[in-house]
Parts: sequence; structure tokens; C-alpha cells
Amino acid sequence: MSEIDDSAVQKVASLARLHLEPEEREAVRQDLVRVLDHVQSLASVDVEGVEPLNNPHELSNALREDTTSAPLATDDVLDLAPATHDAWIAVPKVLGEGS
Amino acid sequence: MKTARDISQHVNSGGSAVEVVRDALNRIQADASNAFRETFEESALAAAADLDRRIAGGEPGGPLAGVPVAIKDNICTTQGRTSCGSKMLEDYCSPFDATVVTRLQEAGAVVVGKVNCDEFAMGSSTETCHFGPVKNPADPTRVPGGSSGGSAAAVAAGLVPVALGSDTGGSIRQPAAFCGVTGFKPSYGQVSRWGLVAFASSLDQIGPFTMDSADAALVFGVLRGGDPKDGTCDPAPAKPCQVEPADLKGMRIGIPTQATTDGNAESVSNMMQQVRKHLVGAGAELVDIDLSLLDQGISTYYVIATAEASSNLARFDGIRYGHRANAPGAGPDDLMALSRSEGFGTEVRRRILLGTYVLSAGYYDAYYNRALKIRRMIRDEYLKAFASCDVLLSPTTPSTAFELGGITDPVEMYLCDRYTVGANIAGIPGISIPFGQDEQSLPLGLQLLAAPFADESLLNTAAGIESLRDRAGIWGARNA
Repeated sequence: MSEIDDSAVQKVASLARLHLEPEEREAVRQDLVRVLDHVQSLASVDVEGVEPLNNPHELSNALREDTTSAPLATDDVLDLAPATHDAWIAVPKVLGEGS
Repeated sequence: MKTARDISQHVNSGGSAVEVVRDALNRIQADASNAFRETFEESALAAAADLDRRIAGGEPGGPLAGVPVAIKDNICTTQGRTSCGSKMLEDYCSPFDATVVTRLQEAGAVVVGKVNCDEFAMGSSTETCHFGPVKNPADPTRVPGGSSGGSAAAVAAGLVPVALGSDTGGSIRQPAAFCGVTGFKPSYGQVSRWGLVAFASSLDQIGPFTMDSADAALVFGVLRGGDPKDGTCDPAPAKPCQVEPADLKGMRIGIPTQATTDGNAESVSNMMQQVRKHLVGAGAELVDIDLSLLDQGISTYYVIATAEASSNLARFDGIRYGHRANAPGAGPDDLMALSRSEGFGTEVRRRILLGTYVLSAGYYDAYYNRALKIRRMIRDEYLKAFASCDVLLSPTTPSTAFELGGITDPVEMYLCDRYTVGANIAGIPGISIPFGQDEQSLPLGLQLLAAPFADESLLNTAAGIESLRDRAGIWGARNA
């Protein structure tokens, strides 16, 4: 059985920037335990000497000329933002008092 | 419904694209499967009228002239919304078109609308879609499969002859099997993903749903080819793809021994027996292939896919676009967390949490890095198999379509992808074609896989097996 307690759920939720209500956390914990128990089967495979494979065809970086092209229009991009102020995207205050 | 190649021929020789598109829009309007999220009536009819004018003026209409196509809701279109089946992007309008959409339009195809999918393509039943589940046209009490369930249902219900989907672990092939149509996932790197909302970037691939392999090849020929906007895309220039049904005599067809053992529904086992009989009758050589790691596929896949998803979906922060929580007084971190929790559904949150967990300090080596090593072993097992056979054949799914609400356990849902995840892990092409029905008249799907970039020969083999199926009088979508 995977050992995931409530504090581990809170930690992973915080890393993932997800807000979980206290009453949701136990169900989430059980889901994670359920899936992680299934993937425990990976521990039985002998991977000694095997290199990780990130990409199926082991592609290398694709380079291109550094050229200019037309960007998206500012208004089109600002239209997508949930809150704007003049030509800016509005966000809550980031720096606290006195910082 | 006519095939895409019949429509294209009709329109290129003077038939009305407007009429073809209007008929499709009428069918969509009368449909009750919830396949479509929205239709683009005005722009579709305008594009069709423009095409008719150009053809009347002597210009070529293109290989997909007048063909109505539907686009999965996670592929960007400047028309309508690109919502990924999510509340997070419920009102999101893309400022650009995906490369595949531009290529379809340049080939004369007419985009008639967007089709529903599982939220951010995470699911095997289209039940995680924020805009309601899609119903299987073969039986409205059952799921169409997923995540491209709307694409599969749109073709199966005869609404459009072509729909685009995306396949990260089976999301084209599994719904194609459940709905009884053809679903093709090209090799990783054959089709540009520019404009596909990323789920798991080392696994995602765009491909078509069609009525048969010849149409799949026609669309694939339009979609493929290098794109400077997608660095993982093979830079080879675009070239058409025309199917030539393969002669099955002497062809070496591999069948994984792990695919014929327990775990399959009786109807699926019976289909495999029938296929074997017909292939032997046609002179094919059946080769037993040992894919000893097949049953590690799901675990390997869910570790890699969720890890990549947790990273890719970090961009949805409620700041620049997408859903923002109404939380006056919340600081930036709380606002992001609240927006993401409100915007994402249960399955998406589950996968983000799982992916974050397997990447976190202390677990990275045990889960993520180990899965990447097993990924290499699985890929090598496939490459070795293709040294002794031309294609690999298995069921697409262990069962036929299940009932809406029939699977609630996440692991049980993930196991629907048992036969399909391998192609994404290894980056190889795969196709599902209809091959008969079960005792309840639900479609059965046959999956064929081939070596990396052997996409054309895979399509040719699929066409050869379709001919065999049709000659034997076995049910296939073209008969519908």
C-alpha cells in the first residue's frame, strides 16, 4: 500500500496550486492511493542499466533562423484576460505592505 | 453518408459544396448524441460558397473539396471556442488556428464545428466533459469512448465524414472502436501539434476519424508534413497519401500472446478467432509475438502522462486567460489555486495531483524516472517485434462500449487503454478499424500497429483487412 497521509495530500495540492476543501481531501487521498497502488507494478521490472527514454524517437533540438514575425495583436490577447486595466492584465497585489 | 473522397470528387466536378455543407449542418442540428459543442453555420456556408465560386472559375478545389469536418474541442480554431471540454476554457476563443485546421482548409475542407471531448482529453468515455457526456450512436445508453468521443460519434452518426481527434493513450482508437468507425493515430512526429492544447507532449498526436482507411489516408496526406512551429514534427515536406489495399498473402501479421489471453470480453475473443481464421484463409502468416511488458503499459503510461500533464496544465492560472475565481482580497497564490480548483473537474485535478506527486522530491526516481526506463524497454520490445512481423494485430479494447456511468473506479477506467497506450509510449502508428459486432449489435474494433513512420504501409494493410472483412460479409462502418 502506498503511504499517503493527509499532510502529503496537502503538500502535493499546494505544489500543484490546487485548493482542496477539507472534506474533499480524504476522497482525493483514497484516489491517489488507489492509482499509486496500481502503478507499484513498475517496481517489479528490472531496469538495471536502462537509460530513461523521454521522447519516443530520441529527437534532438530543432533549430531555426532567429527571424521576426508579427506578434498577436495586443487587443486580441487582452480580450482573453479575465480582468484588465488599460493595456494591462489586472492581478491581485503581489508585493505586501512595506516590501 | 458519402465518403470524403466521393464528396471531393463530386464537388471538384461541379457539385455544390454549399449543398453538401448545408446537409451536414441539418444532420448535426437533428442529432441528439451531444457530439457537437457548437457549429459554425455562417462561416461554413460562406467557405463552401467561396469554394463553389472558385471551382466554377476553373480553380482546383483541393483533395478535400467541400468535405465537412468536425474538430475536437482541444484543437485551436479562430472560429468559435476552444474549450477542451472544460469550465476552465468555457469561453476561450483562440487567436490563431492550429496547423492541422489551416491545412484542412487549404485542401478545401469546410470546418463545420467543434466536437466534445473528455476534459483536457483526460478520460476514456467522454463523461468528464464539462458540457455533458456524449452518447454512443450505436446505443444511446452507452459511452462513445474517449477522449475524442464527440469526434467518433460525429462520424458514426453520419453527421460528418471526417473528424479530427487527438490520441495520447488511445483517445482516437478506443472511441473509434466503441462507435464502429476508423480511427488513425499517426507516428509521433508525422503531424504538427501546433495549436493542439498540450496534455502529455511526448505522447500526444493528432489524427483523423473516418469511415474507412482510404479516407484516413486521404486526410493524413493533407495533415502530414513538417511545421517550423512544432519542433517534434518531422521536417519532411507534405505529400499526398493514397491507399493501396495490401495483398495479405505472405504478409507476416504478429499477434501478441498477451492480447489473446484472459481479460477480454467473450465477444472480443471471438472476434480475434474470426480474424485469425480469415487471415489464414487469405494466405497471411500469423506470428506469435511475446510483448512481455504489455501489462506494464498502463502503469508506465499513467506515470508519464500525468507528470507531463501536471507541467503542461500549470499554464492555466486564471491570470492571463481562462477561468478566474471571484475572490476579492485573495492574494496571487490563493487566486491561482481557487481558479484552478473551480476551473478543473475531478479527473483533471486527480491527474495533476498524481503527476505532481510522481515528480516531487523523493518520488521522482521511484516513479517518473523508472517509468521512463520502462518506456525504453517497451519501445525496444515493439521495435524487436517489427523485425519478425509487418504489423501487430490485437483488439483495440478489451470490451465493447460500456454503459454511461458504468465505470466509476479510475483504475478500471484506465485499463480500457490496455491495448492502445503502447503505440503512444513507443511513438508508433496505430489504427482501429471496425470488425463485426457483439451480440448486442455494439461495434468491435481491431487494432493494427506498425513500425515508426511505416504509416502508409499500416494504412494499406488496414485497407487490405477491410476488403477481407467486406468480402466475408462481416459488419463494418462502410455498410452502415
